Amino acid sequence: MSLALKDPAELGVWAPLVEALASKGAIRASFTERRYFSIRKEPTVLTGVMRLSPDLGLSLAYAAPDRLTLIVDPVGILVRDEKGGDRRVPAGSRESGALAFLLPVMRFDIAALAPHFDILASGDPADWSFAFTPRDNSLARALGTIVVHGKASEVTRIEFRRSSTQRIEIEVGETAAGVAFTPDEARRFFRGAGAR
Amino acid sequence: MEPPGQKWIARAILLGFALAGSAWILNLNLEQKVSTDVLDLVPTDERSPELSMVRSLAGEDEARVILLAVSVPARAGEAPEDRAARADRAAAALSRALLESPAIKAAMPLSDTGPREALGERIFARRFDLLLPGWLEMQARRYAASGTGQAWGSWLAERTAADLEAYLAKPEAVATQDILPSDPLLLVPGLMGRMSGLSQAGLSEGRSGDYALVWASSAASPLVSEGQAPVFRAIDRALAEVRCSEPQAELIWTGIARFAAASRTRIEHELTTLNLLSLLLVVAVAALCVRRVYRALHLVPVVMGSLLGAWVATTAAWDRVHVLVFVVGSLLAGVAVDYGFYIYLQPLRRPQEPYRERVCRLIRPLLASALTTVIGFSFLLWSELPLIRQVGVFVSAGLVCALGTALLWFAQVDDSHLETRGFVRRRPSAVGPAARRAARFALLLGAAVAVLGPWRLHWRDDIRELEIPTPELKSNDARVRSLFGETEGRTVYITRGGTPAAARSSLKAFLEWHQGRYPEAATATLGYALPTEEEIGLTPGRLAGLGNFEPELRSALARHGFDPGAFRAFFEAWEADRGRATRTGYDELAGNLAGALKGPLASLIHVGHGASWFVTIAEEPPGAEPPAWTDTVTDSQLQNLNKLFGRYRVSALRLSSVGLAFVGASVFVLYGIRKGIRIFAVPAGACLFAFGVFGLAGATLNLFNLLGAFLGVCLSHNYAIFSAESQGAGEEPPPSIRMSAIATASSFGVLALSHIPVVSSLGSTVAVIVLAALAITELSPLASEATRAHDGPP
Repeated sequence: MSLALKDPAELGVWAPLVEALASKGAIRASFTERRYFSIRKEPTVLTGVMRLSPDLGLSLAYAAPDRLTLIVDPVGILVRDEKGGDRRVPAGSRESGALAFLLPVMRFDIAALAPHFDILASGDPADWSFAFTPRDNSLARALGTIVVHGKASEVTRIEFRRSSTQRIEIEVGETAAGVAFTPDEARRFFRGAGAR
Repeated sequence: MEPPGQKWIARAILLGFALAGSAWILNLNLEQKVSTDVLDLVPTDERSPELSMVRSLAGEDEARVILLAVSVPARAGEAPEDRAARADRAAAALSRALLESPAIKAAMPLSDTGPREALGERIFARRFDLLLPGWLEMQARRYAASGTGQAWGSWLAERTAADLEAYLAKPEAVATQDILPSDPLLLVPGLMGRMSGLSQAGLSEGRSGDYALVWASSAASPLVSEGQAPVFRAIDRALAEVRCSEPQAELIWTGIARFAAASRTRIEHELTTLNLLSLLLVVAVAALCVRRVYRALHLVPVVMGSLLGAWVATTAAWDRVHVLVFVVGSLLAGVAVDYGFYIYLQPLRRPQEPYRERVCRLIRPLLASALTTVIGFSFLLWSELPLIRQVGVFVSAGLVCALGTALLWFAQVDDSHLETRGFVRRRPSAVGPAARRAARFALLLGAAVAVLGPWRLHWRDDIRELEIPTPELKSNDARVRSLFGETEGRTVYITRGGTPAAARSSLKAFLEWHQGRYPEAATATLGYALPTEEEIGLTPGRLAGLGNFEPELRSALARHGFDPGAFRAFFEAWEADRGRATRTGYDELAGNLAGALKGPLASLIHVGHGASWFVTIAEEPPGAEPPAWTDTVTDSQLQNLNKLFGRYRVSALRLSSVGLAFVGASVFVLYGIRKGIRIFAVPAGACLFAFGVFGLAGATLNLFNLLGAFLGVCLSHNYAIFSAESQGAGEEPPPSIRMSAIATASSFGVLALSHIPVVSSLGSTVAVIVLAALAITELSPLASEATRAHDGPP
């Protein structure tokens, strides 16, 4: 079963799943990221913990090979080093490319994504995938297609497919939904409240 | 009746002077001649190189930058991203509309990545010229530090592959993966990493909070009228166009033009108000003190002649004259009228005494007072500060013309004597012991103030005091600049050099100093994209020593999991570059890089004839100034210009001291040591008293208080001379001294009301000195007469 979504109001059988995914609240999950480059035979593997907060945005805290945190929120994108130093990733830059869309994708904010992406839902609500292809040609060339795989209301894998030799796969591991982040956790892994 | 010949000669000279002077003034282009630019106060040949650079920086394109921020209100239920997108569209529309005006030279929304991408492409295309020498230098240091016995080429191949592997785990690797096959040395990604601080500086952000940002540049300098009103109109029109699609759009913006226009308007208002008020007060003093008030109008030509001469001399001597000279020059009305008072109010020795006879009696004190003042002010011509030189000429020429006009004007009127009212001439006929004690007590009290007060003085020169404060504009400016990333937690440094190579070499020295001083603070400069001349010189030797680098790099890449065949583009480019017969010269290399910078990036490097500089943005709050050998200054122009004015104050103090010494010497020559000391004690005492009053009041003085003191001493010196002359002739001091002092104090009192702090300082200083000198000349005879009465025979 597959459905090309042009309007969030036409979700049909996918509506309950999308609603369940969008309303999961805060989650904390381990992840393994594999980056495939055309110049390299084997992927570069990174591991860490992903945090998603409806209020604070998305945070990818890498533990290996380097410790750093990537924060994506409505204000923009931040790279935080091990010492806590922040570097803003300029909006509209190459570096911000796929990252800028990671937050609405993880939130399953179909209303926000629909104007920018062709969305194709495949499988069934028990074992599904959503493919997001940028409508803008230059963005499509730079970003490729974002594919989110899942089983029931769990996201299991996110792929950024630019080409067969250039892609990123994020395997989502053990996930805790509806968590409450401690103030210290929120401060360490998200942008400070003052900056918002 | 005066002789007709004398009258006609005087009239002819006056008429000729008035016609020639008026013709000169009418032919002036006042817009060009009169400057309101604070930088015109700094000499063009300023000897301090960093101040020279600050001056030229402000005169270059950097001064024309206009920063604009546009916001649109949120709609009900609208996502933040959609609102931001609307703000971006509004910014783009604003930018397009601005470009339609000839007053705007460039405009672009900061979300436009075009300039950054164009620069990136240029640097990528020239990466072996621009980045390889610095990369080799860095690797050579690491190689030396490693202490390995491995050959340089083998070590570098292994290091390159290992660095590339580590780089792939960084977030930015995904964005740069397309260029890695051509750049496994990470020349361009390395530069991007070092330049990341610029993204914090607002230079690469398109948005800040609710605002979308637009950078623009005016076609004309913001310090001239073409760079002000037409720019304001262009911005108004552009906003109107934006509001066609976004009716609620709001715009905040800043630029030097806003400050310059506000300053010009206020200074022009001050000029008009102060001159008028000063003239009215002088007329009021005259009306109060003389009989037949209408006859006081004979004093007006003296003032007019003085001002005309001062304007002509100053505008003839300089291409541009700062408007403050004319604001300060408004005091001439109060000073120039003195000579009219001295001649017009001089009592007749006998009825129908001819004018020529009266002038012969007066000419010695007149010349003594005028010429000593002129000599004193002429010393200001040696000042480094154009403003002080201009004031020196303005006052000197004005006084000479006032004396000449007064002598000629009263030579051509039949009745050249004006009688004062009785109270002006009134003096006590007999002085009792109580009055004597009171006079002595007052003089002793004044002496105590003069001795003790000056030690409590504080001196501070602040260039901001040259302008009328505009807090609302400053607050708006700070708000807009903070949106563009200019915050207090960041310091901007400017490193200069006579040539691009010298500037780059100094930048290297500065960066090393900065690394030692602020090891935790990141720096970003486009200077990283240009090697030093030394690094370029070492490159051929380092490349020659690489041996079989290419096969060794292929092997190392394979060992680290890479496909060596994927780097074909790099190896071809490397081969081609090694085979190049000629290399680009340094100046051309630097010029090409600077030429590739557009929009806000253009202010980061300057390559010019005789002066080049690099801007560095550092992530630390302003602190220690870099040492002189780094040829680097912070962009705190205020601080630099304040230092400059502090230095000029010392210079002005030296010159005015020399001038006063000459004034004193000329008095001693004319009047002898004993009488000379008595004369000179009056202005010197009045000046010390004024400084004592300011010191006890806790006032902080500046260069202009010093200038005012010099003027006050010269003016009060005149009263002492006329007083001494009268005493010598066994006469009472002429009433003109009182009238002159009151008129002068009034006109300077008006200056004290100025909203320009330095003008106010000057006015209050002169007014206090003049009144103190009047008090000394009034009290001294009382004290001495009382002494004579007490000590004399019963």
